[in-house]
Amino acid sequence: MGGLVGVVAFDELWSVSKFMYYGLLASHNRGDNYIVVLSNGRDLKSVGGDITHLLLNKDSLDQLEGYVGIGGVYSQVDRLDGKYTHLSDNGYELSLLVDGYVDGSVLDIGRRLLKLVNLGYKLVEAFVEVIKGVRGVYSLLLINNKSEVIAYRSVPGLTPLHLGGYGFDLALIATESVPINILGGELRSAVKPGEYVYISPDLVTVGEVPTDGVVNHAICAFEYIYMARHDSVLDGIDVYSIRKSLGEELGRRFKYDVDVVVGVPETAIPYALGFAKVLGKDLEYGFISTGVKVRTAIKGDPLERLIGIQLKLNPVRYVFSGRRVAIVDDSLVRGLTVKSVIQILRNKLGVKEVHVVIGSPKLITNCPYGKEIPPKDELLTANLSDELAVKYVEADSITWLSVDEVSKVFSSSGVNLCTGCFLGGCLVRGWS
Amino acid sequence: MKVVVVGDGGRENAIALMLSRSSLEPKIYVISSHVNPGLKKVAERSGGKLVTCDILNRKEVRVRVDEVSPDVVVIGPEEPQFHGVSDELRGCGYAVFGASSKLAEIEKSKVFMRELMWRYRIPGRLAYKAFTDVSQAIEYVSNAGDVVIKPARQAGGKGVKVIADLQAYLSDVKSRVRVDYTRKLISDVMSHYVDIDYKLLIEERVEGVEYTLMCITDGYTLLPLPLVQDHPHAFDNDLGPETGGMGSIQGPGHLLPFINEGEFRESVDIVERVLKVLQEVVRERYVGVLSGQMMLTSLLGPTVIEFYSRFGDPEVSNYIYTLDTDLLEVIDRAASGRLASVKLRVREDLVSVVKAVCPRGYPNNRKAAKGHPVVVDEKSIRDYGCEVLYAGVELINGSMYTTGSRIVELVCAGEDFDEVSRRVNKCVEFVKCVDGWDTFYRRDIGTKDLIMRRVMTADIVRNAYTYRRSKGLSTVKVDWIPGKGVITYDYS
Repeated sequence: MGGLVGVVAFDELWSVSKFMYYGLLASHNRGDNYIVVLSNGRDLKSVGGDITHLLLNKDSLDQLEGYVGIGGVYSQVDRLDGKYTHLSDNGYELSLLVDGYVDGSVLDIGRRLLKLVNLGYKLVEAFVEVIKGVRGVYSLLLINNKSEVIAYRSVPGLTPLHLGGYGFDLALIATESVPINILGGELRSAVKPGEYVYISPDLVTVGEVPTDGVVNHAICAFEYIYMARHDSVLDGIDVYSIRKSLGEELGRRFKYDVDVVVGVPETAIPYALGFAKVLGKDLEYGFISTGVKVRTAIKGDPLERLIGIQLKLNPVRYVFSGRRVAIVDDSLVRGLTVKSVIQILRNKLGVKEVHVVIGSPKLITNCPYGKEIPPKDELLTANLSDELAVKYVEADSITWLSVDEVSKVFSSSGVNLCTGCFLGGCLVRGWS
Repeated sequence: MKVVVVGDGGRENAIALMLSRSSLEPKIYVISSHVNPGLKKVAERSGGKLVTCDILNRKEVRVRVDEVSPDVVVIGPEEPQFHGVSDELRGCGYAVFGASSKLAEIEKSKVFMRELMWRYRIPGRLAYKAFTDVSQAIEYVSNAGDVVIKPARQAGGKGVKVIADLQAYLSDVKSRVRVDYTRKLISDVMSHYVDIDYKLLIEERVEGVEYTLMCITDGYTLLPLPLVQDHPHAFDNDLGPETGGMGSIQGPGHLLPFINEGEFRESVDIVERVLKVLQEVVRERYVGVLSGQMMLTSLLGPTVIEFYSRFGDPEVSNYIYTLDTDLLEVIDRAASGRLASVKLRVREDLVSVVKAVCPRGYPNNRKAAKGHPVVVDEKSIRDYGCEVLYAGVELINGSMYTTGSRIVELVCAGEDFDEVSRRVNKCVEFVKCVDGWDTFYRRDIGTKDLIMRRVMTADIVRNAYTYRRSKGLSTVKVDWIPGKGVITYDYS
């Protein structure tokens, strides 16, 4: 799982490194490591590393000059090799950056592109020619030292990709819509599955990579449930509104009586709002975090995950003491967050009852496309019965949404959803 | 009747075409700087012809006009007006439709226009600062914040830089761009012009929905034409650099889907007031076209971005199907001060879409965009019910070549924007550079999605300016610097 960002200036007066910096910062929710490639029209320069270091020392990026740039964030469990490649041949340079799963190697795609370009193909023609034979579930950014960029969302469309503009001067690309706003731009459209956008200082074109056979398009449910920021709009749908509606749906399904509702920060807050609204109970601000924000679920190392959880969830005594509480979270992956929280609530704060409420269906399988779902043997709901799960996390009850209820919430949105990890088979067929 | 049209672009092709349909059955003579195949065809079909000369040279043009001895002369573009072509011909006793050089200052000098609006307190004006001194200008722009940088003189629509500067964390980058750009603008663009003292104009930046209000006048009566919206961004989704206009939409009736009757009337009122004070100041009668390049802004509602002393290009092309009035009669009456009794008829049942097809390299690298051989399959275009107007194309030894600007304008009208837009898109493939050079156009102009986006933007803007007016903020702007006090800016 990761996020892509691209900035193309139509006027060489611009230096986009600072735009890349803030674009990556606005994608931080999607990964802790970054890579940036900039073009000044002559050569390509790249820099990469840990975002936390970038925050402390942004000069490393500031010193790169260029009016066109691509970049991405990726998480620790993901690895950069296989996602990024740089090729150089006779003064022609090309870099590719992929988010997702490609059937084949990125290096190989680069080599074939280079070969066609050497044969005199225009970049777009070469790209379409090569990519139409590359299967996979991914988004891709390409840059060369002629300041040409191509952004592509592969046919299944599992990961979103958005296009924006800043005045007459910049074209902006980002996985989520948020980086476009943060860069002062305006969201203009969602790149459709199978669509590429070619952007150079003197031409922008949108086209489709032809496919053989029928392919189901579907966007990953986890984008809306967990991955994206609340302030994102993905494929035209407000993430916040989906989360709040899922919370309302949960409220209608919930069978117990509680005194207060608490959402696990930060992803679950809109769920908790919707949930509390339906129940007619107070939503309380129950957990306060310490230090830098981290997305615990995408940490690879178990100890780091636990440290992250403990630091972000210090409970407020007043909220929990002697009360019957519903704790709302967006998803239940390994159950670690909920389990460690409940222990503190029971043993230290004297909570009366704790009902766990989850804004998504039970996860029963990992994602074959590299989405941030852990392997099956690490998924609580793939391994434990409901009864055992309740005992393991020491809750009074756990409530999940059903896949049907999730589909109901999305039904009016016109969005096709991949819910493969809840059903045990991927909905994106015919391509992978 | 004999008519001379001066000019060589898509605008003149549209004007000539409309004139040629007149019941007065005119012979049309075109005076151009190069052979535009569209203009040539219209002229020859009417029994006239196209001749070439330097259209910025008033004496040369007069010689050409004398050869024809026309009943009326139409000056299409602004530069011949700036160079005194209208003055010269009027001086010789010709009936001329086109602003005099002094009146055309309203377009030529952006500083003159703003000064005039402020001096006479005409609504819809933006705060500005003008510079004659280069170093002062550079000093100012480095700290100017959220502004638009413009060359002080009309430079073929080139040179305007809009730099939104609202993110403090990106403002140092933008300050650098403003300074570098100002240097470049003064050395690359303004150095060509010796006919103006001011170099640079800095205006407060506004956001909203743009539209063009073109009006025909004889100096006494102002005849507003239906509103048109141009699309300045080069590429789809409003991306890319500013161009002279990639296409435009018009209708239904005299409004646009995102401009209401009240806003239309306010806009007409602004143009009327400017016309009145302009004639007072210059002490000449305005005969020709006065166009307001307007924007509906959250700051003021209808707001003047620029004035044109001529028809907008490609905006005028929208009228070739929807203007249900004999344009020659109107122009003839305007040229002789008899416009008062004229009523414009507009096809209320039709909307129109214009799209330009451009060579890659337009607008910022015209050298690369120039000299590519072009073929146009006019028959197939007409089979779709569309018309083709020639813009940046010249005929050399029987073959057409790009001049580096927009190649052609494709025009279509129908009941529904979306359908008309799709019909025009189908015609784009009939315009090609035969050497394989890339061409581009905007697929999205006129589509439902883009019009919906404009409607939404206009709603937001309308909400904001209505609020401002309700609080009396359309005539004052209140600022407060903590610790220093309140500053009030008077826009009344």
